[in-house]
Amino acid sequence: MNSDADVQKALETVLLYAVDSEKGEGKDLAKEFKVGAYPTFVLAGKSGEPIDRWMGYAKDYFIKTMSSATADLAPIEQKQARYASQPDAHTAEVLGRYHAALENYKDAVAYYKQAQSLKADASTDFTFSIFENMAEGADGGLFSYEEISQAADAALANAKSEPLGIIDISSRMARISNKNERANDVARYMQAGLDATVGSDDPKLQQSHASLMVDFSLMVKKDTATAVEYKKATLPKGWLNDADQLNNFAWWCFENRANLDEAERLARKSVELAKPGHDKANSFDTLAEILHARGNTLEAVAISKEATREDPSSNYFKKQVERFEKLLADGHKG
Amino acid sequence: MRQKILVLMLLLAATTAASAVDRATGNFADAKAQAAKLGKPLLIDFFTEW
Repeated sequence: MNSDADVQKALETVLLYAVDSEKGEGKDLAKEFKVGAYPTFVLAGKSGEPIDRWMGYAKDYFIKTMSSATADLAPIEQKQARYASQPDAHTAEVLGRYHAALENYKDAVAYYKQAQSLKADASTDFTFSIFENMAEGADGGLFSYEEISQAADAALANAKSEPLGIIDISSRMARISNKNERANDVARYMQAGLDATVGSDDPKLQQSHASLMVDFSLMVKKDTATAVEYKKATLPKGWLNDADQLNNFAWWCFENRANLDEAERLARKSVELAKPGHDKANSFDTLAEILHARGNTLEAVAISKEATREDPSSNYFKKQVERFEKLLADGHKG
Repeated sequence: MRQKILVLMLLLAATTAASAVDRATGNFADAKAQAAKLGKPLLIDFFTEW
C-alpha cells in the first residue's frame, strides 16, 4: 500500500497544476481538453500538447500510472504514429487509457485488446480494462451484450482472489444483465460478488456485501421490502438525522420505486435539516420527484420551484420546474 | 436529486503541505511557462468541488 509520501515522490518529475473545472478559466480549459468526468489527469508538454491522460484517483493506481506516463514523454499524436508502424504492449496500454479517459470506449477496448495480445509479461493483464471500457460503453450501445458478458467472464477468471475487482465486475454486470433482461446472468454475476465478500473481516468488503444484498433482493429475489431493510442496514449510524443521508435514501427509494410513502416523509425531513442553498435545493428536488411518482404532480411543481429559489444558479432545477409543469399540463394528476 | 457524490480530491489531500511537489500558479499560460522553465511536463489535475 502506497503512502502520501509515495504520491509526492511520484509527482517530483512534473509540475502539478490543479484546475477547478467549474470555475473561471477552469471551465474553458476543461472544455478545451474535453474533460467529461472528475478527476481527469492530463500530462502535457510545454506547449500544452497532451502526452498522456487518465481518469480517476486511487493512490496505487495513480503512482503506477504516473510511472508509466512519465516514462515516455512523446506527445500522444507521436505515440499513435509510432504505434501504427511499430506496435508494442506498453504503447497500446497508454493509448487504451488515453482513449478511455476521453470516453472513446471503442478505441480504448481495441487498444487494450492489442495490449493483451502483445504483452510479454504474464503478470500484466488487461482483461479488466477491456471489460471496464465495454461496460462504460454499454449504455451507448457500442458493444453487444454477448461481447460484454464474454469480457466480464474473462476478467472474472483473471480476478481470482481480488475481491474488489470481482465486486466491480459483479455490480456492473448485474446492472447490464438486468437492463438486457438476462435474469440468469443477473443472479450469476451477483452471486460471484456475494461469494467473494461473504464472511470477510474487512469492513469495506462487508459494506460491499451488504450493498450487493440490496441489489440481490431487488433484482433477483424481487423482494422490495427486504431490499429496503438491507439498504437501511448499509446506512451509517445517525442517518435519520442527517440531511444528506436522508436525501440519498429517499432518492434510492425513488429510483427503485420502493417504499415511496416513507421516502416522502424522509425527503421532507431532509428538506428541513438541509443547509440552505444547493443542498436544500437537492432535497427539494428529491421530494418533487417522489411526489410526482406518487401522483401528486401539482405539489411537485410547487416544490421544484422551491428548489430553484434555493439555488437560482442551477439550470437543472429550472428544467425540472418546466418538466413537472409540462407533466401536469399533459394530464398527470395534481 | 441524488446528493453530491464526493469527488475524489484525494490527490490534493495527499499533496497538501508537501514541499516536494512543485505546483503551478496563475492561469494556464503561466503554468506552461513555469513548466518550461523547470523543464518538467505539466500534470493538469481537472477536479471539481462536487
